[in-house]
Parts: sequence; C-alpha cells; structure tokens
Amino acid sequence: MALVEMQDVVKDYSLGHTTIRALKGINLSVEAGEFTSIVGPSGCGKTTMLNLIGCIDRPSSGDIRFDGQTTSSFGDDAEADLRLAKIGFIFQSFNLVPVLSIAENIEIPMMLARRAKRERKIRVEELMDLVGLTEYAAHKPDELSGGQRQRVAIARALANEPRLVIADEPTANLDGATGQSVLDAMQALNEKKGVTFLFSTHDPRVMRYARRLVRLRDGEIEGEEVA
Amino acid sequence: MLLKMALLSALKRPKRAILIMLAVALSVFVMEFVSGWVEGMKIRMQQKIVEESAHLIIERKARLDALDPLEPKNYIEDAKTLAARIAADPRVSRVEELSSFGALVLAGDRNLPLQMYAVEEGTSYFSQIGRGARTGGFPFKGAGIAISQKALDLIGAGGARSLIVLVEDSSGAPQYRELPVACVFQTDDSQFDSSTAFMDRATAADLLGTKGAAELWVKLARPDDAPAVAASLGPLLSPVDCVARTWETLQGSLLVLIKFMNLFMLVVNIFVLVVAATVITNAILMNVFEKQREYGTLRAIGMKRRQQGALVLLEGAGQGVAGALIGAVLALPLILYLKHHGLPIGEASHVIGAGDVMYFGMNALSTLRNVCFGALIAVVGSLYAALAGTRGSVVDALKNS
Amino acid sequence: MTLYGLAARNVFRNGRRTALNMIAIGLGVALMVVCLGWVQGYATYIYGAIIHFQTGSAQILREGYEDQSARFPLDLTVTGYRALRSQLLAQKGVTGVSGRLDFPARVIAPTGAVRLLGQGIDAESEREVSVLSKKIVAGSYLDGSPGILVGAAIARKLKVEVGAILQVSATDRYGVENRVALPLRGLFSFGYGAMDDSIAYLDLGSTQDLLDLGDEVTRVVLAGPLPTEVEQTARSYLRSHVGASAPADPAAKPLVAYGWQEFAKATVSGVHTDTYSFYVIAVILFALIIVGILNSMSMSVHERHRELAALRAIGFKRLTARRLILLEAATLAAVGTVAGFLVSAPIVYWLGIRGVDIAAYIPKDFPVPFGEIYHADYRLWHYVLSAALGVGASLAGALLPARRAARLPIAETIGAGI
Repeated sequence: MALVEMQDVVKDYSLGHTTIRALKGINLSVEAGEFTSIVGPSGCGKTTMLNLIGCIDRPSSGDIRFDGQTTSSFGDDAEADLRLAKIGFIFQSFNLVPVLSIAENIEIPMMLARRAKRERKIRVEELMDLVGLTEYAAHKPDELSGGQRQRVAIARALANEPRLVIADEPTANLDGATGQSVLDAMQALNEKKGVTFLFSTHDPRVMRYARRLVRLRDGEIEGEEVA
Repeated sequence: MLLKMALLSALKRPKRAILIMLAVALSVFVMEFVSGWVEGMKIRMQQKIVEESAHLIIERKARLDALDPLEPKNYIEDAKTLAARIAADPRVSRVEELSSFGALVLAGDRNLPLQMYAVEEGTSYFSQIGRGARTGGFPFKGAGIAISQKALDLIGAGGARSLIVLVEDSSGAPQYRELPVACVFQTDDSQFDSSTAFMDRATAADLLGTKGAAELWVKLARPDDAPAVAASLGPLLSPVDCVARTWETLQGSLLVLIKFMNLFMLVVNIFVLVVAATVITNAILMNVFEKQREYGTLRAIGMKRRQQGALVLLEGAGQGVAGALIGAVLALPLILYLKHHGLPIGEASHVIGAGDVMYFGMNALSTLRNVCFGALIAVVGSLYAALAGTRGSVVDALKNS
Repeated sequence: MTLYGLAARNVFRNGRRTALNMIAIGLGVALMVVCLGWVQGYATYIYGAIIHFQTGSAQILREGYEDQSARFPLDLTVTGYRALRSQLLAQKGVTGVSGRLDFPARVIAPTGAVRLLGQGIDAESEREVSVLSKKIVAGSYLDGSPGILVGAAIARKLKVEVGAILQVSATDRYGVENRVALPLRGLFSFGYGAMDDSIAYLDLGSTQDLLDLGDEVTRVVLAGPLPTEVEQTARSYLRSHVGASAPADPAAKPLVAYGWQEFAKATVSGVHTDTYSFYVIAVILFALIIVGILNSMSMSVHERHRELAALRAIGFKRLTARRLILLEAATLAAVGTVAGFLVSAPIVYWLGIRGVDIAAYIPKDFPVPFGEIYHADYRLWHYVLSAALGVGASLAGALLPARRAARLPIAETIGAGI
C-alpha cells in the first residue's frame, strides 16, 4: 500500500469572478521511504499539491489517501490530528515561532501531542544533536543563520516521528552552500532513518538530490524520472 | 508553554500591549473612582445612622403626624418601661431615650435658633461630637449644654461659660434657663454645627415640663434586622400608640440618591467600558492578523483551531488582567487620599448626606468586581478576535506575509 | 477618482476594524450630545428657576449677614430701603428691585403650629423679581395690605383655607417675642419642595412691625435680563455711592452686592459636580478614541506601505499622502459621528422633548428645582461641538500615521526597484 495516493485530484481557486484550476486531475502515488521532488516552473501547482497531500488544504474533487485513510473527507480536527502524528512540514520561510527558543520550537509538536515532559526533553536533545545545533538550544530564531533556522525546522518536522516530511522549496531562501547542507541533512535522514521526503523545487541543483522527480506543468503531471 | 507563548508574544509588541493594558487600566481606574464615591456615600449614610439617627426610631404616632415635630408634645410617657421591653429582644443591642425640640440660644442682643437634642448621660450616639470636642467632653455629666464653636461665634459668645436657652414648654409658654457650657465642639459638617446643640435629659424635662421621651432610638446588632424587629415590635407598640420607623425609611431620600448615583455611574461605566472594548478588540485583532502566518504554521504542525483560539484568548486575557490590576493599583493612592482628605465639591456634599467634603470609601468586593469587569472586556475582545482569527484555513493563513 | 473617493474606499477595506472605530467614535459623540444637552438644561431650566423663584439676578446685603445667616441677624439689615430701591431701579440693566425681610417664623393655626422661614416681601416690587405672583394656586397674591401666603401643602397640614386668620410669632431685633394676626390671602406652589414646604410670605409692612424694624430689609433683590450685568451694576453702584453702602454709623458694616450663585450654592455646586464629571468622562473617552485611531491607522499604513510607496512613485506628493490618511480618518469620523447622532436621537427625544419624571425619584427637600418633569435642552451647537470633537479626535489619532505615510522611502519600501 502506498503511503500517499492521489486519484483524479482537482483543485480550483476563486479569484473574484474568475476560477483558476490549479490542479487538473492529478494521479500520484508516493511509497514509504521515497525521496521525491515535485518540480516545475512557478505557478505550476507544486505548492498546491503539497498542501493537499499535507492536509492543509482540501481538493475540489478527487480522492487523497494517506496511509490507507481517505483524508479528503476529513474534518478540521481529524486533519490536525493526522498532521500532528504523521506529517512534518518544512517551509520555505522556516516559519519558526520568534518568541520561543530553538529547543522550544522543536518541542511544540510534542507538546501538542501531549507527550510527557521528560520524554519531550530527551527527544529534543536527540533532534538537536541530529541537526547539529545542540549548543544553540537556548537561542532565539533571529540569532541564527538561515541554514541553521532551516535545520531547526527540519528538527521540528521530525519531532513526532512522522511518516512523511513535506518541504515546500526548503532551500529557496538559502545560499548555495547552505542549501546544499540542508539537503544533505534531509538525504541522510531519508537514507538512515527511512523518513519519506516529498519536496518541491524549481532549482536544478536541488533536483539532483531526488531519487524520483515528478514533473508538473500547468496543474498536470507531465512526466516522471527515477534516478 | 502556551502561556509562555502568549506572554512572550505580548512582550514582542510592547506598544500594542501597553495600549491594551492602558485601555483596561483606564476603565478600571474610572470604575474605581466612581465606586469609591458611591462607597463613601454609603459609609457616610451608615455613619449618619449610628451617629445622628438610629436603626429604629420609635415615637408616638401623633408626633409623627404633628405639624411641628420639634414641639414638645406627644411624648412616650412610660419610655423607660417600653425601652426595657424592647431591649429584651436579643437582636437589639441598645435602646436610648431621646428628645428633640426647637430652642433659641441667646447671648447679648443675638440669638440663634437650634435643634436641641436631650440625650442620656451615657449616650452612644453623636460620637462625632465627642471626637470634635474642643473643650469639655461629650457625653457630659450633670446639667449643661453642648454647642458648636460655630454657633458660639454666630452669637458672639466665643468664650462663654454659660448660655441662656429659650424654649417653649409643652403648654406653649416660653421658658428661659441659663445653662453651663459643658462642651464646645466642631465637626466636619458646618451646617450641622450651626443648627444643632445638646442638653442633658433632666434639664430638658424640667424646662419642657414633659414626662417620658419624644423618641426611643434603637441600635441593632445587625442593621438588616430592622424591618423584622420593627414588625415584631408591633404588639408592644400599638397599645401605647407608637410606631417604629426603620433606618431605610428614615434615610429614604439618601437611599434614593445613592440609587440614582449608582445608576448614573453604571451608565458612565458602560460607556467607558464599551469604548475601551472597541479599542482593545481592535488592538487584539491586529495582533491576531499580524501573526496569521505563525498561527498557520502551528495549525500546519497539528495545533487545532480551538487551541489557536485559546492562545489568542490567553494573550488577551493576560493583558486584560494585568491592565485591570494596574488600573486598580493606580486608583488606590487617589482613593486613599480622598478617603482621608475628601473631595471638596461645595455645598452639594451636604445635599448628598456628606459633611463639608465628600469622603470616599473602599470596598474590596467592589474593587474585585471592577478588576474582573476590566479583565472581562479584554477577554470578550480576545474571544471575538479568536473567533475571527481562527476562521480561515491553514493554507490562507500561511500565505500571509 | 478623487482623493476623497480613494479615502472613502480605503476606510471600508477592513470592515471589522472600521466598524470598531466607528462604534467608539459614535459612542463618544452620542455621549457628548446627550450630556451637553443635559447640562444645558441645568442652565436653561434650573438656574432660570432658581433665579426666578428665589434668588433674583443679584442681591445686596449688609456685609456679614450672609456669613451669619443661620441666626437671622436683624442687627445687619439694609436700611433706607425705599430710597435705595428708587436709586437702583434707575441703573442700567436693572428691571426690578424688591426688598425681603427674613426671619424664623412660627405660623399658628387653631389646629397647631409650624416653623417656617418667614419672608416679608414688598408685594408689588416682588412681581418684578420673582414669579411668586404667578404661582398662586388658591386665593390671591398679596396686594400691600396685611396678609400672608403659605404653601398649599402647609395649608393642608394646618387645615386652613384662604381667608383664615393665622398668627405669626417671631422674636424681634430686641429679643422680644411678638405676634401678629394675618389673613391667609393665598396659597402658592412652585412645584419645588424646598420652598413650598418651608416658606411663608408676609407683607413687608406687617413684618417690619412684627420685628420692630423701620424702613429696613435683610436683603434687596435685583432682577434684569442679564444676571451678570445686574451683579456688575449693583457692585459699581455701591462703589460709586459710598454713602449708600456705608451707613451713617461708622461702626456699622457696608453694603455688599452678591451674584445669585451665592444664594444657591448647593444647586450650583451640584450642577458643577455633575458637569465636571461629564467633562472628565468625555476627556477619558476621547483619549481612548484617539489612542484607538492611532493604533488602527498605524496598522493600516503599515499594511499598505507598499501601496502608498507605489502611489508616491507614480506622483503623489508627501502632502497628498498625508492628506489621504487624514481624509480617511475624517471619513471614519464623519460616519461614526452620524451613527452617534442616530444613537443619541431617541435619548435626545426622551430627555429633551418628553422629559424625565424626576419628581418620582428626587427627595422632596432636594435643593435643586428640577420641577415635576426635567427637560434637557438641546441646541445646534451641541451637535456641532460633538461632531467637531469626534472628527478632531480621529484626526488627532491619525496625525502620526499620516506623517509616517508621507515619509515612506519609496525605493526601499517597494523593494527591488524597477
């Protein structure tokens, strides 16, 4: 059974009197353990597709199944529960909570999942070690570089041991070297821990990391490549 | 951690947090000022009851209906016996015989009409006279008169040791008596001072040619028992053609004024609270919409709508409580000052039952209520902001820059 | 598209924020209108009532009388009343002069006696300074011949009717108790308990005999269309006619002129207390509104900073950008003000036209002549002032944000440039 299945998924947006069809009947499967990139030019629907898979948006029609469950019919709370337990997010602009320390930012998902304090502490230390930021535990996000913030975002995304990590243009706001180190970290997690990564990019250098490329154009899958 | 996030968020936007707290503080300050005023009126009324009046006043019905209540007629003849029977009620702490009548105090070619009270030697009433005694003491022993310095100055008898008192006795004949000045006093109510004096009961009875007392003043252990005690005294009083009036009836006009003030103040409070609420709600809404992306992220990683709402509520409520406490603390020194020194509002203070100045009062329950109301407007504003701010979808929230 | 049109559309871009601001402005304006009219009602009705019922526009008394009024000092009278009256009537702005003689009276009827404030009045002259002659509800007014008027309620208490003979007893200037019998000419009712239940009016001649006084009164009451002018006239008369003010006996005190407020201190201080508390509340409310608008407009400018910078780039001057923000604030205030007027309309109708039945709530002896029904008095300038305050507060709050909008650095704000 695939981890993610999309069947004839359509997404329309209303902009005033106009309706824009962002996705025009997507059919896609993502297996557990994949390191897959959705690629395409700006406005092709990459972010829309990731939002739908990550249950932060709903399709206009079609079905999306995650780990065997049809998420397209989930209510608000069910979606939140699913995201908390099984999906991690890495955003282009990091989206860390500016008033909390790095450790606390990483801790948020575990706190929401009501894990015990001691358990949270141990896990936070593990994750900080994993992303190489242990000595920055008490620092605030604005005291860190872009690359460091994105690594915190990765650690946060992994907090509740999700089945899938979704990263929307994770290196877009980073310089070349930093972006590369972030991708290295994601790749390492995929290879060593078996975490499934699904990320979007239009940067060819980033595409090289993916073992599977799904090409999107004008809301339709144009083709796929497997490395 | 939600609490910490709420607190730190508030601190990140200090100007807006200050605005919200200031609006709440100002509302609470106004409510405290107004409450202090009304509380002062209530305290003054209670003071008046135990100093210049009683919880229950018992007198002959005929006296109540008389044209001139200051005429020495229609006295309770066997006042002592009646007093003893009333005092047997366990709810009654004290019963005193008292008479009031019109008198003229003469000195040289001047005279001054006064309301004269004939009081028992150990009277527990009119304690303000004792507190304000400049010479002698009150109550005093033996024959004599207690009069204010103001009254003495009016008749040009500043250092007089005795005064001539002219009264009309029970048969309508004028009676003169020279009495020693047993006490010279000054209270904080110049109108009272220039219109009131005191005489011992024995001299009064002799001068007026009366037996008994005009009134029995009853002090109760609990003022609220007055209606019940009055009702239970019915069988005792009707055979002697007497009636009991409770302090609520006696202070009726002051109670009406207090109610009026309460209503006026309620209207004012509502206006201030509502305007403050709009300012606060606006400010909290701004906070919420500025943090849409942050909230979107938290929702994306698994926070539920209601948890996001709780975060908004916590932040707003926290600022509300802080602002309310600040308002109460800022009002405290002012109210304390006005409690001790009073607010001079001119002659109007006499009209509302106060003396020469309007003294404020403090009431912990009132302050607590005002603090709660102040915090409440922030909570209500936050609730609205929480509802408005959590309505959108996660993806729309994330699109915010 | 005009600047006004743009401002108006911008105001309604954020409906929620605009609505909240309008509520605040509307409430502030509504409260101002309601309170201004209420306070004006004091001046129009209550002060007017006090002056016409009791105090006149100004009074002349012997120095020291007012301080010692508690003892009704008959050794501090105004002598030579008739001559003084003629001279005062000749003064500019004075339309009436009447003498009164105050004393503590005991009015005795066959059924009993009551203690009242006795006031001997020069009946015909009294018509020029008070409305007493118009408040007769039974019998007739005094005509100069011996007679007494009492309040209708007092007459009921005494169980007497017009025509009855009443005894009036008082202590004269020498401390001797005298008595006079007078026919009850009429009953009066001002609708003001403090006067109706506490005063008896006697003809001046009988009173002077009773108190063993000559052509003397305790106060001379003056009337005129402008109370302040009457007071000034009385003062300058006394200054220029020292002989009149300082009597022959050098030990005696001079005459002093007082404004009517001196004799209605409780009323005046009550009105002042009420008025000042309105003003304090208004200041607090409008301070809140200013701060709220400042916050809102700051946020609005911040949200639109790119848009404003773009407008500057295409030709808006700094002044135009500033004006735009101020116009938005003024538009917000205008709508809020109209809303405030609408909200206050039913209250204005209730207070101003129907009136409030105060008599049911105010104690009878309350020394403010509210009358049976109290009417607030709403004038056009109340609305103008309230609107000005509403718009002014909104503009004051928008000044800083307007300045910020005008000073936005264009390139930096837009971002990457062309």
